[in-house]
Amino acid sequence: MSAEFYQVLSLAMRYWFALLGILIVLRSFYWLHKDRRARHRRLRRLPDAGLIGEMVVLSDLEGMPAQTALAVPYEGILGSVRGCDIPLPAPGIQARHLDFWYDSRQGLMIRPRKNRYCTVDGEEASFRHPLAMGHGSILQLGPAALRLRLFAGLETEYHARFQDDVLPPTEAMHYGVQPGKEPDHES
Amino acid sequence: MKQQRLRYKLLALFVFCLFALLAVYGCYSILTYGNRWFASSRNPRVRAQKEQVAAGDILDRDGLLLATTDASGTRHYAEDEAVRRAMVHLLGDSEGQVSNGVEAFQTNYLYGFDDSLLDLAGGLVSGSPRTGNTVRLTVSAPLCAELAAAFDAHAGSAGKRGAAVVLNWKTGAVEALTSRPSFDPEAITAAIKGDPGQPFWNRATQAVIPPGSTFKVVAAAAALEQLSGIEEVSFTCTTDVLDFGDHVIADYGGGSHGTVRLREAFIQSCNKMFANVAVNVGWRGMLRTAERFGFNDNFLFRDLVVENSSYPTSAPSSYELAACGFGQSGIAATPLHLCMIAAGVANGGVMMEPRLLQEVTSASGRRKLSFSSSPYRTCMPASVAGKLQEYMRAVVTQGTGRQAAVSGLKVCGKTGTADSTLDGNPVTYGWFIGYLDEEDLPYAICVLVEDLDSGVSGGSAAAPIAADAFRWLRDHRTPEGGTAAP
Amino acid sequence: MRAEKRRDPGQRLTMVVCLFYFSAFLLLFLRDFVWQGLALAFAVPFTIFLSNRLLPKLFPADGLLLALAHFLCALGILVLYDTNPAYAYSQTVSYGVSVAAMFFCVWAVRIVRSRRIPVFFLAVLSLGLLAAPLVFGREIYGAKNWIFVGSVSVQPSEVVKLSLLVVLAYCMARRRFWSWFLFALGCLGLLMLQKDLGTALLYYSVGMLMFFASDGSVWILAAGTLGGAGAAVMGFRMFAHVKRRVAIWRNPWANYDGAGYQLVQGLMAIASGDLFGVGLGLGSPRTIPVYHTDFIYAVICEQFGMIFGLCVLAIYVALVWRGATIAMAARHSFHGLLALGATLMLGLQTFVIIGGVLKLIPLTGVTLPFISYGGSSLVSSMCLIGLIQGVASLNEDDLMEDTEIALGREEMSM
Repeated sequence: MSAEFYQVLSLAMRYWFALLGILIVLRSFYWLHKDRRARHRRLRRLPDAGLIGEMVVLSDLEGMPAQTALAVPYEGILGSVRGCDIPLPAPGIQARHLDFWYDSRQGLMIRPRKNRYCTVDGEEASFRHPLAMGHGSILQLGPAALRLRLFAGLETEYHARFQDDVLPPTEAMHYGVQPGKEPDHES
Repeated sequence: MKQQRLRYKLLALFVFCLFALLAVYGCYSILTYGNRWFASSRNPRVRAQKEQVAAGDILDRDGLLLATTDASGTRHYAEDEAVRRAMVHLLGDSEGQVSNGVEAFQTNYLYGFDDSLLDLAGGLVSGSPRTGNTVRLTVSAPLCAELAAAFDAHAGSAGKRGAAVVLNWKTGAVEALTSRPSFDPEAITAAIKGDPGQPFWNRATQAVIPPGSTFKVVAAAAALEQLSGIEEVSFTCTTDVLDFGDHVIADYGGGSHGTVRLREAFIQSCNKMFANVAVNVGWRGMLRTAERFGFNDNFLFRDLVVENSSYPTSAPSSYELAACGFGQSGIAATPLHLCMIAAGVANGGVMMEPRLLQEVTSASGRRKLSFSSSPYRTCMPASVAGKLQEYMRAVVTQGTGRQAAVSGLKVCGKTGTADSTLDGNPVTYGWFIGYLDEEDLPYAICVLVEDLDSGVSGGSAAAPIAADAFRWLRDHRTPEGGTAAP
Repeated sequence: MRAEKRRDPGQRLTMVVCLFYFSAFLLLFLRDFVWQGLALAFAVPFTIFLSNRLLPKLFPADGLLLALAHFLCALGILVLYDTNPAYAYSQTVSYGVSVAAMFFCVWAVRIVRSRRIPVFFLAVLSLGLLAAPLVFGREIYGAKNWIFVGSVSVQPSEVVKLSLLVVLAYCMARRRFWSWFLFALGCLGLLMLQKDLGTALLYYSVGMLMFFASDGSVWILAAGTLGGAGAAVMGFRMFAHVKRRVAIWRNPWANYDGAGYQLVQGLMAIASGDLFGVGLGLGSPRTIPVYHTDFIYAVICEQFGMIFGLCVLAIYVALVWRGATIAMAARHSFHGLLALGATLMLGLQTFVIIGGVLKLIPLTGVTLPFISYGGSSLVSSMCLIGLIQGVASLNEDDLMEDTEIALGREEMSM
């Protein structure tokens, strides 16, 4: 093909390429948008997605009555700030008090930040010495005591170390043992 | 995790901002500088196009052929050697020695880069070789030649380096532009390339030179605008110099002007008075006015590549500030810019963007572009411009610019003589900027003569050249703006 | 079924991409009538179609990331074929390798879920790899960052990118500050010794931003930025070549036959392209120095124009968006940080090189991810995509599990 003819052809094609380029961009963003909406729809049907259980407040705290259930995600921070994954506004609790993460073998690992402390079932945890919580374990920090309730299917071989005589079993705990009677987790 | 997710989002937004910055900067730089980068003589695409396309013709405003391509593809310039030499800097040459001439800067048109697909397909069908567009300029070739001749006709400027620009102050159209020393584009020799006078350099648009007393136009505008009642203040100018410790300020030739007010100081070009004016306006005020006149601006004119003029932006010492009043100490401007300043005064304070292209027509005769004028900026209120017009008229009738006077025309102007150093040697620049205060002949001029002999000033070296140009315009221009047959 | 298909946004994108490459390669075939051109005109769209439609079904992959990465890789092959076919052929081979490497990464991310990562081993290995060019390498373009194994040359900094992300994400998720900090410091030091400042800048900024993401301390971010700026100023004072780079950046036209030549040629190419380009296969892209690696964006802008250049930028934005979405959906901070780090790495690398070509920031010699010629770069970019996809597939698994549990509950309560 002669160079002149190719030139005209190529110059004509550049508009086509620009059009396709714009189309590719539009389609990609359309796809992003679609996926986003699909994901939102899916998550709306799964209120428990990303959560492993709840922590139940055992005694009245400021602005948080007893039996309040706090959702527990796979990983996060517990502290007094509203932005924390588990917000617990109570005196004696630091803004970001402890990190926790779910370990499928051991249970919910609790690690206070440096110079912060808490106890899990009576044993003191520290930054160097993280402790695991199982279903029914009690986390005590400052004035607050919290009982962990894992969702059905997530219980580990780790056995709860709390004794029945120390604290009376809570209603929430009771639910947890019988997976068939799940309460609404959104509450 | 909740807070971490928020930070993920924040960081993603940060990356988006970076990309937005890229996109905005990319578009901005391509849209503002793109045609300058494209038209660079180093662009290999232009060289490649030259093999395929015969460059279009360049005509002057009256249709005189300035450059054309013959059948063998060789570029030829105007028949008259005087015209060739006078216009070579404006047009450029086929070797690309002159940077940013029309030949280089308008490659887009001359080599048909902007030819539409239909044009190309049509050419393909007819099989004729491709020719670029014909570019008609606003310049008048005989006037350029006349300016060049005027340099040699006067003793003060004969054989000197220099430049001259004529603009239409109503529209901004460049009527003439020449730079000296010059050369013949048809015969470029090694001797020309090695010439220490740099004949390839377009001084009219590229040389930034201290404007000397012509800057008093700007200083006077600053004073009239910012110091109320300055016209009534009188100042006694003696032969004593103003002493600033390490520097002194004296008047041209060590003379004195007696008791003067702003108007007389302007007419007599009294440095000491203007030093006081500058000190009173203050450097911020001076800087503001200078920037309104286009100093420190990045000139991005559509048809011309013009070096930027500079005015010192950092706080100067008291001597430097005083010297700013008469255009020394770090102030520098091109002849084209000073011509725009004169045109701005003539046009009531509105500077027009200098334009060079009158018309572009494709090889098939379709018009692609025709002249349009647009204002560059308003540099001062019309009232101030009116006073300056009167001052500049008086300069020619009774002041330093008497040699620019032409019978039958209302010539206004301002002279200047600037001292500077070039390669360590002191050098004196003679300036004249002026304009015709005539509705039918709306022309502004700037003449620069470099390296004056001792005892010669801008008023005696540059003003006569301007007078010749005005005389030519008087004799050759019909009131409609056309060029009368000689 | 048909209606379902028509609504699938993935297919619509794939169709346009295939159409683009088919017409582009066909046009180039019409230029020089070499059979390889015709072969590519069919092979490239076919491969893209197959991988976009089939791979997500065979393997847990994120369709959009895959499609965008394929589009960019193929764009690289197209531009390389346009300028220098030999490069395009070897790029095609690297592309095959890189797809395999990408799946390896997806797999790796999936299996390490329940295992401890040998971070220490990874860190030592990376430092050793980075030190290797100092011992065995030779200097190319002023930087000593290549090692040669037989006829194959590898850029260790591209490989170390991946392990850097893994180590950083792992240690940051566990809040082991000093481990990652010392490792990152070691990497930066070795890169400085190699004079590979562009990559050092990239590592530094990604590390700093990842730390900000994990810790949230604005003060440390500010200190890091200040420290980085201080280091840049010190580098400017100490190294002559940094000074030269900055001088070129400030005014490349001052010396356009010498030091500024690259940048000036790149800018002229982009300016010549204007909005729609000079036309594919026309123009003079080969006059730009290193048109096949650092300046490939200038070639794209010259050939296809500024509009298309902006579209390429937008594709990278979509990639970053997707990466960030995946990072945000991750349930464990290790995975989140890994996906985010990979995304930041891709995004910042793109910014650094395109910014350099457009004269927004001083030019540093990093490659344009996916597009630039070079096996190491292509493989590492695809591996980064692999890491993100691995995280995406884990997210998907988790969500599926949750759905199953929810369904199980519904059944039980019925």
